[in-house]
Amino acid sequence: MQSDAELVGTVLAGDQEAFAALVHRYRQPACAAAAQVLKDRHAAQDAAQEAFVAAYGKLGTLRKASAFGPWVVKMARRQAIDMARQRRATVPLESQDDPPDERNDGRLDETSQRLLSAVMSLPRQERVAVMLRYFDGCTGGAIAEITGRSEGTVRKQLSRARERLRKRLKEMRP
Amino acid sequence: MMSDSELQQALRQVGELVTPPAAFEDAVMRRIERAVSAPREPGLLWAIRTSLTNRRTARIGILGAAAAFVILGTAAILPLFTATRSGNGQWWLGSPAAWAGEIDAALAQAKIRGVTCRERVAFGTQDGRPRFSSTVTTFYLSRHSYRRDHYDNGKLREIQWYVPGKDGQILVGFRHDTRSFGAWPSGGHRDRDPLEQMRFWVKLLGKADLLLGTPTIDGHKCVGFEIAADKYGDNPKTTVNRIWFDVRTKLPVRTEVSFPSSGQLDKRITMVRDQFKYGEQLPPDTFVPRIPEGYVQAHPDDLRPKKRDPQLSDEQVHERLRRKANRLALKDVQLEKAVGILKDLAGVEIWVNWPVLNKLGIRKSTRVNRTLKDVRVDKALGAILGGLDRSEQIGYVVRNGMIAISRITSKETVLPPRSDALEAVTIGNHKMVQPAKEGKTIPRPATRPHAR
Repeated sequence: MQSDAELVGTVLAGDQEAFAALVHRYRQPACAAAAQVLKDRHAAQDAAQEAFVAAYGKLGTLRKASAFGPWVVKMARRQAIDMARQRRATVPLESQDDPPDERNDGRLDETSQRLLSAVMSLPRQERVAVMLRYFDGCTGGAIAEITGRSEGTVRKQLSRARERLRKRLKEMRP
Repeated sequence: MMSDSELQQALRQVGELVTPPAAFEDAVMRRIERAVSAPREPGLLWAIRTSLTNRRTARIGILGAAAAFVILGTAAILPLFTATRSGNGQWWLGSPAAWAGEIDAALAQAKIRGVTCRERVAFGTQDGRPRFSSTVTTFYLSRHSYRRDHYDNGKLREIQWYVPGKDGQILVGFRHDTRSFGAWPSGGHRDRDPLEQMRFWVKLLGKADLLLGTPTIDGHKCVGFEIAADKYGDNPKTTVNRIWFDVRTKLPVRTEVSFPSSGQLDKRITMVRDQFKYGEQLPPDTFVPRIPEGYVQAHPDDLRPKKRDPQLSDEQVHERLRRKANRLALKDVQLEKAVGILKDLAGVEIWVNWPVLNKLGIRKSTRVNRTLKDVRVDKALGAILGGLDRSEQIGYVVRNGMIAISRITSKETVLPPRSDALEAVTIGNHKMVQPAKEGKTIPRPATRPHAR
């Protein structure tokens, strides 16, 4: 498996397709970051798309190629914040009265929102490790290859992150 | 508290919830494809607004006004008019904020792959034919390092590597002519790599003074901009920067920094950078400093051979000070530069005790305004110093084959005593030098010219 740094280098060398691999790798973390802000997974996908397109344009400005993951997740979050601001300015009329349709509506329930908030409050590297492990189903070894860290470090990061998450969720319990 | 397995289960469920559909990646890649291939449409209204607000861009302003008139008067023709502009690729008429960001990103990206370019210095009048210096520099640029190879009459004279060090970027260099090498922290304005400089200018192009047309340079159809240096920082507006971009790739093809020659506004020196090659595959050892065997380590300033004769006697210095300049026009020139002009005129080393002058409120950047005709260098020097200092404490002495400028009562001005008496020079009613009676040896001031 190619590391983020290798894929970024390949993209910058002119291979546009290598970017698709990065999109595949970080699609869930980016959507999750946006969903935490927008509380709507459809809108979050739009924000994540915007973030990936912007990331492609700005890839040359990325100082540390191995930091692509945290970088694009941050971009998705910012994009989501912008979208949320615009939304506030134009609230659709039906949102006042219509009850949410649980099956088709993209809105996230309270528990998911709390968990996402807790994940987003993790330190940057831990956050990405958690997202790759549990949202994308990557193994510890795969995360180590992607992020360019040792497997032991990744295991420690995941363990620390879970500990933090449990504490955070306890604090957030209504 | 939630158990570990419950937490992991909950995280997986949220992961499933936020997982986008399979079409997500395709959608992103299609959008990128469109963004890369689609030519940017020029924002006509923005172009008109920019031209009307930029007073110095007179030609565009007139065009903009005319276009505005056409739009207001014949609204029905507007769709047709914009349609004819479609696909022209005249992106420079659009929002500088949009395309400058694009160029900046492209430059940053190009730098990662590797860039080379050439630098030459052109001398000559503004309208006349330029004469190029015998020195040519080739730059090699990458993401974290860059390198300058200096050639003199086609022969490699020196190489300088700017590479990451423990505490920031360091400069490592050697010179074949002095068979010496050195390593020291970089960071001065001269150490700025050309690509970073271009990225800086690109961000300023919204303030450009002139649009330089669309000439063809080295086979590239280009569009050029000119911006005066006073648009950024405390710089004289007589210094101008020009930059030409390939209209297709938007990457810079040529840059120029042009400034007046020492004290002669009608003559200009222009630093020209061209022959840019982007996306070069540079050999991996391009940025590995290699010092030829047998070279000695020297202070960076010593790497530059002394231009002036170090063997001048004081009498010879006086003789040179009696040289006449036909015209010396110092208009809003920094004191440091004015001293440099006199140095060049006389061909004599001048040392300035800046710390002492600073205490008197006189700085390197203090402005000098003097126009003198048919004047001797010593008189010119006296006039300049006299104009700076109302208390008349500042003067100069001739000593050890050089000129030292300082507060004359200050011992720092005194060079290591010799048996002969110091010479005095009078400006106004003030006698500016006393012999060093005590015979104390005071450290000789650094006389190294042009610290890098």
